[in-house]
Amino acid sequence: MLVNTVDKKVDIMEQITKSQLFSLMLLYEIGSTTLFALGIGAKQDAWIVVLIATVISLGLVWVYTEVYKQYPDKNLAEILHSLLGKWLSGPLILLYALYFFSSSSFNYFEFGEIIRTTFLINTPQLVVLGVFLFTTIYMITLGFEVIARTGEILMPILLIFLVTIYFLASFSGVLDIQELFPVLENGIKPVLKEVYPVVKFPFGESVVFLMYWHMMNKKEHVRKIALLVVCTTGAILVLSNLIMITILGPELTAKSEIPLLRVLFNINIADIITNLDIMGVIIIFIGGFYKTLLNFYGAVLAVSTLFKIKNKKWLTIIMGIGLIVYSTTYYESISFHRWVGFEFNTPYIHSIFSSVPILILLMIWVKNKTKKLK
Amino acid sequence: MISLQSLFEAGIVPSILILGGSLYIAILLFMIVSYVIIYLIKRMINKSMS
Repeated sequence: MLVNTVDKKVDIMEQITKSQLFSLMLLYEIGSTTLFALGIGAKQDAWIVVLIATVISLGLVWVYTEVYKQYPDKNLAEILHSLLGKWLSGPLILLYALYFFSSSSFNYFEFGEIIRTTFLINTPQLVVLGVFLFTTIYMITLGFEVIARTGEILMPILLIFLVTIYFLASFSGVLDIQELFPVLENGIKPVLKEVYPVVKFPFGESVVFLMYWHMMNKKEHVRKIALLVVCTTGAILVLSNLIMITILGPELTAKSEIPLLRVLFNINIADIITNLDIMGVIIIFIGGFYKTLLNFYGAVLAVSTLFKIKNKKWLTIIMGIGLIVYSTTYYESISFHRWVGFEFNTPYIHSIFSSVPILILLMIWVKNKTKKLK
Repeated sequence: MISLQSLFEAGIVPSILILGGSLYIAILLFMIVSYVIIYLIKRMINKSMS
């Protein structure tokens, strides 16, 4: 009886509202993307790349929400289980868990390393990553609603800092609109070539939200929010690309490791408003933290659903230790990390795992049609 | 295209994800095609019966 009441309480607790979902999705999508100039292979036309990618991503996110609409009370692992059966779904769920885990460790190492090399130079890497991990595990043990509520508080802070950076950059006098011209210098081909990677990263990564959407209290709003997040992220990324290119120029933007920080160092208004890198730290930290957290929790949920583990606390701690061990031993340096990211994650791994829901939706459609025939 | 050498250099996790994921996409595609064939056969039978 007591156990039942406790279970019910947990069920009631794990519900999130519209604004919380919006905040979490936005934090996830703009998490690490502000660090890079996406689509910079197209030089000064990078902003057109992001614009086209956003429109295509609307379709991709529509597919994800359509899969969710067919099973509104289930997470991705449960959807796969009921669609493919026990034996076929098991390995796929495990692959998804591994995918979320590897994405999480990718972000975890990246943000730990960036903070260590740029701001906390004398601090050992293990300390930075350890603090990061402790907070992650603590938040997960408190439940998803706590994660969502903190996201709701932190999202406006991230947005305010981003907008402030864009605003100050525009008035600092280093902005040169001429850098954006000529538009489409080499035709549309280089632009279209860059679109696909941007669709997969960051927009395709939102497949992890198939693990969380079932916790929404008003399920009919999920699609609207998801599409709104894609549009907002697209707008922020276009703005961020425009600012980076007009301040640094396309060549320097492409060459610099973290263009956002370079932009921040360039801002100088009357020698009073300078050294704004603290804003960069806050953006990197909040975005990186949520990206790691949501991917990691996705992996925990997938494993706990697959093996029917009720006590997620211990699973989180064990997987957390796995995360820190894997991240510190696997990634030898930031350059190896970038190589894995550009050569494997974006072109292959994100492509595969963000495309699987499209096939799942096709299967659902054909299955439904066959059922109707009966 | 991706080479086995670079896949080996990238480590065990990306290899599992890429190879396993590709295998699964193949399985799912195969399932979809077979579902569609079953659907078409069923429809044909239904039509000929009526």
